[in-house]
Amino acid sequence: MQSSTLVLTSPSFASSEQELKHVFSLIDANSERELQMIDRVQSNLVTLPVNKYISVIVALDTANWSSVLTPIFPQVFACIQPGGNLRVHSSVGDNDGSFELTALMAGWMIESKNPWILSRPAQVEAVPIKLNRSKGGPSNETKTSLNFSKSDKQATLSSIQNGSEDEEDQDVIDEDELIDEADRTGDNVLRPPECKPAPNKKKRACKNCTCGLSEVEQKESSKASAQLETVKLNDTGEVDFTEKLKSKNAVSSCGNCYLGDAFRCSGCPYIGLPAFNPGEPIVLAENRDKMSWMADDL
Amino acid sequence: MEVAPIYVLYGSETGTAEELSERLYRKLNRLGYRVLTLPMDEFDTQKLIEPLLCVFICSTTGQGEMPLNMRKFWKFLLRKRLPMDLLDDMQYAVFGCGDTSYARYNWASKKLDSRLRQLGAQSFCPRGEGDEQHAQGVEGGFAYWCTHLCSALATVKTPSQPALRDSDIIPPSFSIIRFDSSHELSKEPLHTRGMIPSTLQQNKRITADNHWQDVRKVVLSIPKSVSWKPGDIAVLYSWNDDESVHKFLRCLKWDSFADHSVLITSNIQERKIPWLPNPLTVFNLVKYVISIHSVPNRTFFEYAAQFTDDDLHKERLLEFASLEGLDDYYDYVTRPRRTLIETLQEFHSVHIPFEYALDALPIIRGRQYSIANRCDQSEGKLELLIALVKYQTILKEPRQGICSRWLVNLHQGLPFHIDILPGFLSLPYTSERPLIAVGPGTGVAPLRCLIQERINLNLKNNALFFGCRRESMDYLLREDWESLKNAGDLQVYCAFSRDQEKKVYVQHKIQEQEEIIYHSLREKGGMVCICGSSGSMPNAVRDAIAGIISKYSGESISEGYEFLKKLEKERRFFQETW
Repeated sequence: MQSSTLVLTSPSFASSEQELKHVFSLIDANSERELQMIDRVQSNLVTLPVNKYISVIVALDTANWSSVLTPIFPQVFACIQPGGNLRVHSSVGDNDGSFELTALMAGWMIESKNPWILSRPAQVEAVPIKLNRSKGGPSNETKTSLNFSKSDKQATLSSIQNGSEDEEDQDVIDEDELIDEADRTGDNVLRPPECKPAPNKKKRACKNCTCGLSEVEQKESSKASAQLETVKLNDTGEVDFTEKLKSKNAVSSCGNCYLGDAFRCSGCPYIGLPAFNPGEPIVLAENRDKMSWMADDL
Repeated sequence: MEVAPIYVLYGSETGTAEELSERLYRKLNRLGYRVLTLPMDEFDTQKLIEPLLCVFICSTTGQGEMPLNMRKFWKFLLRKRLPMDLLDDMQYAVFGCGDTSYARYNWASKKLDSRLRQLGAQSFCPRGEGDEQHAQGVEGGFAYWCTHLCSALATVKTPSQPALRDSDIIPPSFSIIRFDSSHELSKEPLHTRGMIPSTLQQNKRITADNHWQDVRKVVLSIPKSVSWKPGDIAVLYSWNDDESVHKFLRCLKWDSFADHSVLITSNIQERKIPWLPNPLTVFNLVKYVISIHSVPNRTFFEYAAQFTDDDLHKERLLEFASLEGLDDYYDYVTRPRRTLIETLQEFHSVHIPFEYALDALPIIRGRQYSIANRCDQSEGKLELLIALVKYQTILKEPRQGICSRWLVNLHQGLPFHIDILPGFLSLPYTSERPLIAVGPGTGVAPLRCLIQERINLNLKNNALFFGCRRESMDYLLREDWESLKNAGDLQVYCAFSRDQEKKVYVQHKIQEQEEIIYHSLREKGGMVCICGSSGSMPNAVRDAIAGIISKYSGESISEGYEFLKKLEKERRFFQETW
């Protein structure tokens, strides 16, 4: 597989053609190279692919480059192949003495400090990192020893599993207290950003919109559909597309109407109709009986 | 030595969590990890003491509860006797599917995460949450969390194989052996999904013909040995109409071998085949197993993109499957409720190989309905109230519910199998305590079972608050209620919202009967059962009751809510909404 190198840099660094050229010269000629702006990675506008790069070069010209790099350590670590490395290319030294410790904590190995070269270990064992753990739940009355050996654990497990049905029902903790526990220990949760649309994407109202956006949307869409000359279906559910095209109102600006909704513009009069072959009538359903339902009057 | 797999364990009620697990399974597989995905209840709890890396994906259902297929596992985790360092060797992450329109939002995943930590497990990635009400739905939350998960995972586990390139296709999970058409197969119809044989006795519309909604009273005759209790659920398994099946087969170019028999086996040892009678014909696979009228998920688009040679189509399909294209997927698929078969007709260049059928395509799921009559074992009759789902979106063809589409055409005498699942009705309904039952619309179905059961036990202290649009249009099972009222077994209060200028709902009727409510609940130890659509109704009813309690006891409204909490704790208040 072709090897790739990623250059992570800032707009200000990249504005200097000479500096950028120099960085590229550090890369193996046989390696493919990619360039990403580090701030786009930070703000999640760019997702780095996992286990892809043989090497990453971080090219920054600010004195506090480590405070720019360390927040994205997880993503950068993950995008490097096991055994690959990260090089910091900066003309300005960093005074942050804690960078080495932060890097070690994040799983890197330190290859050198001047220049900074970190590597991702080639093989990682799934060894749990024992950090601070809260021992004991609020309703766990049974005090059990913290030094259960594996065979003890096994014995307890088996006895629980082989226990009687009655015992099962009574001998459990209060699960609702787990919610209080979660809130108490500071519920650390990842939620998608609130109503922040991706660039160029329209902001859309949530189902239970309380900010008024859905009313605005509804007004816009009813205005738009009033202006749209929607294609009318005749009694047999067919649309004569050829006729429509001939009339001067049906000029397609993109030429994609026949491809189906996936390719139609938002103002297309054919929205809601299936794809068709130009020149042929559209038939909605072979045996469509007269629709007897009325609009939902909720 | 075989590499220990990553376990992706899920608790899924409607299939959302299961689908996300499958998506994660494929993603991690592509990255080169060995992965096994299972419902939590199928995970051998003996394994819990081994070094494990687990990702849990679970939905919250009911009143902040765990989905059915993880209850056994959850009950195990809650055992007091478990040692506090049981999970010392487990590294895990949790993702929760939820809906902020429910008060106990994502409680299941929150509780799971909390308990795992209590038992000593190490979280290698923060808990993620997805919300139905978010602009991008649960999908948006999952996609966001998934990128964090994969980065974090890389720091604790190295893939055992090189990652697949984007252009590589992941191998199918199932092997399909095709026999030619001369292979002998039983010609019997395949209505064997489900354990309980039944025959359709009645499929009658009980709303007025000119009412917008078609509600059916469905009566099934079943073996007299079958029993159920109030709150229990019947599961119906639908199948596709022949015309749609032919269309679908033509779309995917499977029609040339539609009558061939196939035998399906799983390529992955621990992974079970979904329900299907094996062997079966290709035609019957599409008819009874593939859900061709359901809305395709993003998984489908991932596969579809790999199986087309039309560049324009491929590009668009990839967009729909991508994180960046989530908005587009929503606009094209979710909002208009575009079906799988409609999508394939539009993307006519897509030809999914038959071997990938069970990986790429959605599978028909059973639909759950509360049983609407008490079990009388001398009769062998089971009744359901089913509101047929039919509505219009921007697509010109009207949308129909999967089960509705099937039910509409079922004729009397048709045999098929069903299942019965236990419900969660936790009220002391066999006691003398007065019952206050609130059930607008089809919410009245389980209440009918409950009320009939009580009357059969000679318990006549029952009040039903029913609500609908118009007395003449959708007063469901009016005759039943009137005869019970006349017999003195039931008080009936109806709110017909549109029969007068001002809108009248069940909560208004409750307020009208404030004296009865107060005495029943405060002085006679009564119980409340609310069933129906989720939304504003349950809260409005709670507000009304709290208001009555506070008014009559001369205390503040918060005292009224405290009283409701007390009722819940004493299991005298049950709410089932959908």
